[in-house]
Amino acid sequence: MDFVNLPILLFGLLLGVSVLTSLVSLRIGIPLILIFLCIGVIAGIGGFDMLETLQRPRICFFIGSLALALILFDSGFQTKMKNYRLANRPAILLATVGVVLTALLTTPFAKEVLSIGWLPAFLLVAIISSTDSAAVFFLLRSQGIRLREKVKAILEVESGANDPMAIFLTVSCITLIQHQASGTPTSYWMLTLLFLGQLLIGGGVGYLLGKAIPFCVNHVKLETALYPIFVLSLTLFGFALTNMLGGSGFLAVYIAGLLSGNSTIQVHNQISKFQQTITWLSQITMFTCLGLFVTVSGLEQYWKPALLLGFVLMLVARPVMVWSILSFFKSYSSTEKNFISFVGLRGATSILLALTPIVYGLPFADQFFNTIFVMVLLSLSLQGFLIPLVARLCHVTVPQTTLPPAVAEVDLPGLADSSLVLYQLTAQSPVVLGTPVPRWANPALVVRNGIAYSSGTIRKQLKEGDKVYVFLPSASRRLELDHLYGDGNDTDTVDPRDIFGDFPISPETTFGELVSLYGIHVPKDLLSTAISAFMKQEFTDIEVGDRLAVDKVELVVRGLKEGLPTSLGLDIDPTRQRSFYAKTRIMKTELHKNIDKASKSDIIEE
Amino acid sequence: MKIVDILSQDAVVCDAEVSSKKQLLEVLSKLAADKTGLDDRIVLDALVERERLGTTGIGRGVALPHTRLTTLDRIFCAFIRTTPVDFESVDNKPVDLVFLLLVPEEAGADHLKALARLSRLLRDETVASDLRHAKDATEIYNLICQNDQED
Repeated sequence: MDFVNLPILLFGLLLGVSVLTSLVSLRIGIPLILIFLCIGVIAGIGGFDMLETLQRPRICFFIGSLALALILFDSGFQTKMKNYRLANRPAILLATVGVVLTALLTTPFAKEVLSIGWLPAFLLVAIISSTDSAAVFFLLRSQGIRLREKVKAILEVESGANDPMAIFLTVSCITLIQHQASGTPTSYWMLTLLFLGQLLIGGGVGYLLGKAIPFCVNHVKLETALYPIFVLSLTLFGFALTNMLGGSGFLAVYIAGLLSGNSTIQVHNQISKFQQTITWLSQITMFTCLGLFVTVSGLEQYWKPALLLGFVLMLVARPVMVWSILSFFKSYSSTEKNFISFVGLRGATSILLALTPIVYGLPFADQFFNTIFVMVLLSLSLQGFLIPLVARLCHVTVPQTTLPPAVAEVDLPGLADSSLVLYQLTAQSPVVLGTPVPRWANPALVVRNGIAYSSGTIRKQLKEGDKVYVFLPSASRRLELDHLYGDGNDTDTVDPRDIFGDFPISPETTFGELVSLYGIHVPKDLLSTAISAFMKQEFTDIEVGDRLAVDKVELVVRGLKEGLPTSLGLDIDPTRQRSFYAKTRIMKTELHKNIDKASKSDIIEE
Repeated sequence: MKIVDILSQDAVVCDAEVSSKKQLLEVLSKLAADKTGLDDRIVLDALVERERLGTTGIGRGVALPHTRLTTLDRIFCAFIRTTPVDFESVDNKPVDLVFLLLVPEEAGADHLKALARLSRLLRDETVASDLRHAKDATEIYNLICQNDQED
């Protein structure tokens, strides 16, 4: 039975070594995937017979694609939609135009340095043009560094969304090269169609899948532990189906992940934990496999031009690309642009794509693989190592709070949007300091010195060190709970006044009362009208955060019930500079311009 | 308009001892009555009336009670640092830094400008913290003048 046991033994050993080295990686601050790669290289050079099957490019490419699909799904699943609102335009531009621009900027250098033709040179840089930020965020987390929201958002969205673009460029380049070799005339129409197909079919199936996953999970009654597998099966199915239909499977799973991760879905926590584990396993497997392809002779032959190209990409192409795209967005400072330029780590996608020339049997495949391997290695080690330092130098970090507000969150079977949240109270927790707790947020259970108390007996005397379980009726109220039971540090980087105005105003307030207080101008026939009733009538599908401009001030919806504002805010200085987050998605009606036709207008970029 | 133009040094009080929001508003009204010659009842009634529309406790320990008064002839501003007191603030945190702003009927846009300016000053957490640790009224007054930003 050794033909079974030896490979499993070896596989277990490699996995174990990979996992244990994470300890080392955390200590010295080197991206984990770099270590997985090196383990693969060592195992490959070590020449274990059992690994020969894996050294076939097709098998390895298969494993890599599967792994990348799962990684991308998870990357979408864990990305908060909030980040998309925060940085969608600049990030999407970086992920699409940026990828092409990076490739175009680097191509001449690649052509010169490697003395190859234009097309192969473009192929090489297309392969390396996508970024991987998983490594970055892992490093920052482990070093206790928190990035400012908008910088984190743009990096997260960019790195998640630029893989499909890089994959498309690579695939079309290979098609062109094959056409050239066989003398087939290339139709650029075909190529455009191919691109649109990839994008539209990928996006379409992704959207459907993203709606189908939560629907299926919420409507099929299964053993709890089976849900993550169910999601996994839908993901794989959608991925392969999209590819067969001519769309980009990677784009589809990313979008599906994004939509389902941000929807109301049963056992969200369990699925999320499972995804994280699967992502790690995928990364380990993928990088170890890809590492197997590296040969000492190949590295010896190609490392010098590869290093040179790596530096060009890092110090010229990426900064030029980031600066030219972000200069259209005024809200990014130069230090922020510098940091975003610096965080162009190359990773999983690039190495996987480096296999494609081998799979297609292109003549320069070996040179390409080794060159790209060295470039990724350089990027991961140098940039990865320096990122914590650069983040501090560029002032893009925010002070770390000592403890995450909640210790744990438990899914409640059958209740999709609810969960049980556990807090460990500190001396600074607002409830300990005497902040009153609204009825809905009463603790379900309090554990003190290992003894459970019901909420009724102990609610009024919560103490430092108590473990408090609170029923969270809806995920949207989580922030309110954190503010009550958390460690009292305001984790929010955004001043709530920027979003909700300076002063709260009771909803029954009439325009007349506002006029007599602040001397602003309002049409006479409105003086006795209550502001909330007017807003309900004027705004179709009113939302929290909507604003009504009245003369020099703005009224903001702070709370809503059935379309009627239940609390309002007064912004006395709406023209001032606001933080970036507060600028996004403000719907505004101007009262003084045209009362009859007050229309909602989007002023995302003021 | 700068804060220094409307806030005089003798309208800065450090370490007032109050036990409720009502008492704090009373202290403010008396202070305003002292400096402007108005009846403190009128000031208090106007302030209470304003609070009825919604608290002026804007969070992070800061409150900006304000109102318009027909009988006033100039903008009046005062600052009080008090023992932390419940002000029904938006974030439920007790208030210890308070700016009072009273404006005459015809002040118009100046009212909003002055309020915005006070609000902006205390928005800065370091300024708020410095004000909490200042040793006397003079230091508080100087801190306010130094940190008052141009529009």
